Amino acid sequence: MARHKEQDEYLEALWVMREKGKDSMTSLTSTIGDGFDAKIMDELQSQDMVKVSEDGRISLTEKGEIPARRIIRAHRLGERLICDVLGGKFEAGACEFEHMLDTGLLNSVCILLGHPKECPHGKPIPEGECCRRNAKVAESSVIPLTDLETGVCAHIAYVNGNENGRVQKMGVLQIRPGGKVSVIQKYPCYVLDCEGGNVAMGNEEVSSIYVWKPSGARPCDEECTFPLSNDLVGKKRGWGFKSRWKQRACRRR
Amino acid sequence: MSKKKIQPPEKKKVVIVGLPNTGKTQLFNNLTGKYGLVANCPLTTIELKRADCPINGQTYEVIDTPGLHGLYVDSEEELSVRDLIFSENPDVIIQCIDANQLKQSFTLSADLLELGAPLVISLNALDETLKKGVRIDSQGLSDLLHVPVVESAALNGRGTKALMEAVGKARVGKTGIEYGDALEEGISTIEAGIPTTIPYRRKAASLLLMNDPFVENFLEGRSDTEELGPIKRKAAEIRERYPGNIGMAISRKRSEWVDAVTEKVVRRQNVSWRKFAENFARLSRAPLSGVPILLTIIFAMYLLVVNVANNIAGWMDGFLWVPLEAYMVSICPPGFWRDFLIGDYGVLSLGLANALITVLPILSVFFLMFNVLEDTGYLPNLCVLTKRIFEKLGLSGAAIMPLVLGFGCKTMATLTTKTIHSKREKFIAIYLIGFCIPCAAQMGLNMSILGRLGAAAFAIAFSVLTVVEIAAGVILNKTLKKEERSDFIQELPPMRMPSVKAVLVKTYYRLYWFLKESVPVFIYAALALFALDKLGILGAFKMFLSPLMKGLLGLPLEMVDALILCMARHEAAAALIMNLIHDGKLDFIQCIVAVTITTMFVPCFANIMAMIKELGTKTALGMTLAINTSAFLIAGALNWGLILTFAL
Repeated sequence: MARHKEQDEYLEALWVMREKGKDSMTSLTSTIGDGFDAKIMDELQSQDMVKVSEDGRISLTEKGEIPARRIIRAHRLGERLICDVLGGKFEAGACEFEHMLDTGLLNSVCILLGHPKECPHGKPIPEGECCRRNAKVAESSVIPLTDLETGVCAHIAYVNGNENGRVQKMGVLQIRPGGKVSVIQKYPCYVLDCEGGNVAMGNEEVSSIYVWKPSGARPCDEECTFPLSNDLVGKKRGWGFKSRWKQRACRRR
Repeated sequence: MSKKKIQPPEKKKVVIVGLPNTGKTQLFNNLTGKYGLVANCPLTTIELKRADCPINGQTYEVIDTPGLHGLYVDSEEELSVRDLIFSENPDVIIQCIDANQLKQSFTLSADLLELGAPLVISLNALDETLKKGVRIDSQGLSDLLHVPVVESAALNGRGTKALMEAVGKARVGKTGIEYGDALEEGISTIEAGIPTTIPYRRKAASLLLMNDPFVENFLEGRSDTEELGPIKRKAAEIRERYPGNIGMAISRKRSEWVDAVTEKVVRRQNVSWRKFAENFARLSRAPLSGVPILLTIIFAMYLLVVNVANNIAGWMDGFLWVPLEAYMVSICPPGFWRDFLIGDYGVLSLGLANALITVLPILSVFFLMFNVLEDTGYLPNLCVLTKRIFEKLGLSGAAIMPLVLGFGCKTMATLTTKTIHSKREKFIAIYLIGFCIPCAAQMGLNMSILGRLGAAAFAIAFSVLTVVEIAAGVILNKTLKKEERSDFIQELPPMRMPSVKAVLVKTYYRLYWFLKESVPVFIYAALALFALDKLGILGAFKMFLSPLMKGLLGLPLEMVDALILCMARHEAAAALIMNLIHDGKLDFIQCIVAVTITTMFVPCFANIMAMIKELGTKTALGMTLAINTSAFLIAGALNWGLILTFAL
């Protein structure tokens, strides 16, 4: 799971390097910084996402282009949204943003912002499918859990019902924003799979749960990428370097 | 006394806590060698259990607790666990974690780590997660939380030794969660105001800030109210000033920590694991397949009771009781002593032989099957299957599980209703548990009785009981004042292949408990009936009840004995009915009426005590009276209904 996020960072770095016209291993190691891990590059190569030529030039393959494009698009759209529209500090937010959004949600944000061409730093935002068809209306990206098909994994966006303790009650069962959930059955009442536990629930209780519309139909026990904050764990001895490096890598962009 | 009393060294305390159904009681059993009932089902343990256990050459008092999700509690049985931790200040806390539910468990771990008590984590069900391709790095987890983590397979006792060793090495761990300056400062301010006599002041402070409904009461009980006033005001002030909801902010931080820890210790491989258990669970919950599955299970149990248990009982009767009776007849001349020993109300015949020769074989077979069913985790799935019916009965939330548990033991089920917040639903649930639901023992005996007259009798009696139960629920639902419905959020345990050893051990204990509790009751009841009979009171009483018994219920007068025995112990009545059938005194209709009335009639003594505990004496006794009156009326209506139906 963690691997996906790390690979994302390398693909992103390669895209940025290409924009600057750089393609050497040295510039990649300097872009990534202290935490550079040759293993991840090997993985990317073996997965045919990145190719290294004989004279040591690194470039994205056609296959690698797709995720890299999505990540860059998410990052820069995120900056646009958080900085310009919401007026917040965009750096930290956008870094999380890029891992968070799937293609459908990303397009919705893009439509909402009117298909922006550049990020606040003036760098180009890769065009999305929505820009090409000049879509005007964003599809709903958050759906009630009751609309989710059975067996499909989705991430929870939010839960209603703070006043009567329902949110807390569901929270301890890991039904909380960011949690993974899938519907096992809907009748005679709902049975949900959330983070390994099965929970039975009435219709009314389930209708207070809203999820991000999933882009594919994957069940929950298959691998599923999602942001996992390392900030807290990062403070611990021995395994903090990765998250520190990630924060730094994020700041550089 | 000249001898100086030697002060025993203060015993160290170990408290076992964890989410519901994570194997706490199994761990308790492994550590102490005692036996507390275990099942693949939440709410199995509802009260604290204590036992001594030598660990590393020192005697520890080990305490088993009901399920706990976190220290911010919202139900009474969770509160009892938290109160235990705060008031007894345990030397070591063992957290039981079911590896299937890591994230849920880590939320509790965060709370326990923040509490600052020495902690040991026992990681259970690793074999199950491995099958799903999930590997958990327990050493990594131990390094992360700075507390010992022991891998165990509680069900077959593996890891118990390692756990004992770890108890000696328990340490105060840490999470490293920081809640931001505003909150940390607020917690520190309140902590400073809490009297030093109270343990875990920091946790108490953060609970106060989160506006926990029970923590104020606890603090009030432990310190001067004057001291508390300023702290409460301060907490309110901080809550007011804080931008946003403190509880949400804390749980968000904690969720991030939980995600991060999980990511660090979980390694996934994609393996295709057999989902048979999951598919079966799903099928058993969907109406189209679930109802046939339920009926098949009941029918299979019926067949086994009728064909196996009844034969064993018959065999035992022939080989044990018949010779014994003949011998007694030969040595005992007719008269007082023969009546006392082997007469209609004899201590040996109605007391001992009933319990050991008639009831015990049937219960052995039935409990064996019921325990298999319980350990597979099938029962909680019935909550889902029957949800719609319960909704019609006015039970929308927490009341469903206790009702399903009533099929195991009505007394325990009545006690679990303390998890129900809504007074109305609690009332309905306790009534319905007390009324038509047969407990496991009653179910087994009913099957055995009705089986003697064929499957049709069984089908009729149980359909009637079902209809009456539903009708009672609907009536209560319509008449009681409406309240806001409670949420139905019920965890379901994973389906498992039950362990042969665990099932056998459980059956042994269930039978042992039955013998220990009820053999004396059987004997006393026989003695009481014998005395009443000899004094002529019983005869007079029967004459008095004659119009009711014969006229309304169409039952022979001997059934009065059964109803009296019912009040002592339902199993005793069942044995008497079997004797009546054997003697040809009950026909098809009478038998059905007899079984339905004894099932509905007075909940057993322990059940009434549990009702009193949950509802108060007045309401509980009123409810018992209502149940008995309806039992008579319904049985009467059933008698005439059946007579008319069969006449047509």
